[in-house]
Amino acid sequence: MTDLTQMTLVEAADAVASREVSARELTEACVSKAERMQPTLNCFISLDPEGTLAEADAVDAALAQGKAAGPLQGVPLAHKDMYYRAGKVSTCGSKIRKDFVPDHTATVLERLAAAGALHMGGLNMSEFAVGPFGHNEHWGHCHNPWNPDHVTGGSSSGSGSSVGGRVVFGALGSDTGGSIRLPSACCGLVGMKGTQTRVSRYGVMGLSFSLDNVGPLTRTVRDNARMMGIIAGADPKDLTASAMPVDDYEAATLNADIKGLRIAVPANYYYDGATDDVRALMNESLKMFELLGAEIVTVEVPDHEKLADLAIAMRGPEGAVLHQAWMRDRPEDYGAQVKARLEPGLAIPGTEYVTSQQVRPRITQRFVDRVFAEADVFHAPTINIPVPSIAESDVKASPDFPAVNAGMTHCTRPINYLGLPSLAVPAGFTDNGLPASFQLVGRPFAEATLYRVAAAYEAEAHFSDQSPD
Amino acid sequence: MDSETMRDLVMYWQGVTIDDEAAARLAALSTSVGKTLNAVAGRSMFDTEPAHFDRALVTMAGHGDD
Repeated sequence: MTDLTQMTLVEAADAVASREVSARELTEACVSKAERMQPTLNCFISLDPEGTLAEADAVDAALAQGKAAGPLQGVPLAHKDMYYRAGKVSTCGSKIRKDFVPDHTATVLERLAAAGALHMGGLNMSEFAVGPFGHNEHWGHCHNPWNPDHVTGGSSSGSGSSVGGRVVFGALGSDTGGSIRLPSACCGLVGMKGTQTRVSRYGVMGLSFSLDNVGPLTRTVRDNARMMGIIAGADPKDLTASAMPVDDYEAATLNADIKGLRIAVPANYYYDGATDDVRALMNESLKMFELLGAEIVTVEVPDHEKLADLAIAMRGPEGAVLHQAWMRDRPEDYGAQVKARLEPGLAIPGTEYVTSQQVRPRITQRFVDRVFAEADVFHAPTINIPVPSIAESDVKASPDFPAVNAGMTHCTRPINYLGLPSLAVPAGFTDNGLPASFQLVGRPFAEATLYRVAAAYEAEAHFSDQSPD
Repeated sequence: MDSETMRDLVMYWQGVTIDDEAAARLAALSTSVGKTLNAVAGRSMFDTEPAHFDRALVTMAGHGDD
């Protein structure tokens, strides 16, 4: 292979481990690609070629001495610029934190580094992870690698753009209402929002403690499973991270068989406002699952007309607490849409916030009982409209913006409130030539099942093989 | 709630200034969220335990083959 950046994450790791390719060669290819693509994609906020090459040289030296390779040895990654590294600037995509230097490192970054991964830099993102399109008034909009006139999806915009653009092999995003799955969907990637308590958030900028999730965006299902297997699990520094054992996700992707599996599709809610081309692609994916031996069942999903309000009653006050002092003292330093999306938290009474917490297990239980009594996984669009252009979605704080935002997150936001794992999977291309995606949702801690089902589909559909280059 | 009251309450509670458009948006949102939460809660919560979401998720986890 002449262009090393076209490899998958697993292929790249294997190539370095077998010393078929050096970590330096791999890194030089990624740095060169990053420098070439940055003017088009604007996916990086900061890029550290010298630091990454030094890390790569250390990997090559260790391998030359016979040291065992980790599962991500020598593989260049980059992450949303809200994962803290002690002593390194983490802007959170904002003007307010543009010079912030944390004194601690995120647990997930430590785990990736321990697995041998290299860190290329900080990726563009929606300001403070607020915004489903990926716009950023301070650092410039990020652009979709399949068509730079279109949005990347947000808020993990740079994660979607850089991995989709074959600049890095994988990236972490964060997902409070869809911010991993939306850029995955828009950029033709696989994106995992795990069970709410599956991954540590220590050292990660918060937006809503009850709804924030950390997870990977990658080109293939197996790549994603490998990264997720490394970052998932209990963390003494984050007591909200579950002690549930972590399954072998990558093993679940190998020779995946779904004969006899039952897949639920929604009778209500998820296709409200869906376009014909998205419906057609979703139906094609379901036909593929049937060919693979799965059975499709239709279910009525409960409570969904209430979930937007329940989520805002939870996310609003949690976000407002984090931002209140800055909203009071320096409101001019927020982008217009970000400020407008944080303001609702100022108006939610404490009683409503607590109610949203107290009823959450009951609402989730009702969904689990209804859907997973009938099926093993739930299938729905990730976004039920084609990926919009930057011009169409750049509504700032106009009166239209709540509806435009709500349309983009219609299918992802309910799953955050329910706390369930959801995997976004590429599902072809809509009439405008941009990627489409479905999400697979499972019972709590059923990430391995989602990876197995997605891997079986991917092996037949081959959408992950396609590159925008 | 009218938007003027909302603007005054946000200033009183939070010390944050919001414009007329935001006040109108928040007033509408407050009404919608209030109705939904009243309908969902529906009964006294006096005898409930504090929600522990991870414990609830663990209880709901399946025992699949993966």
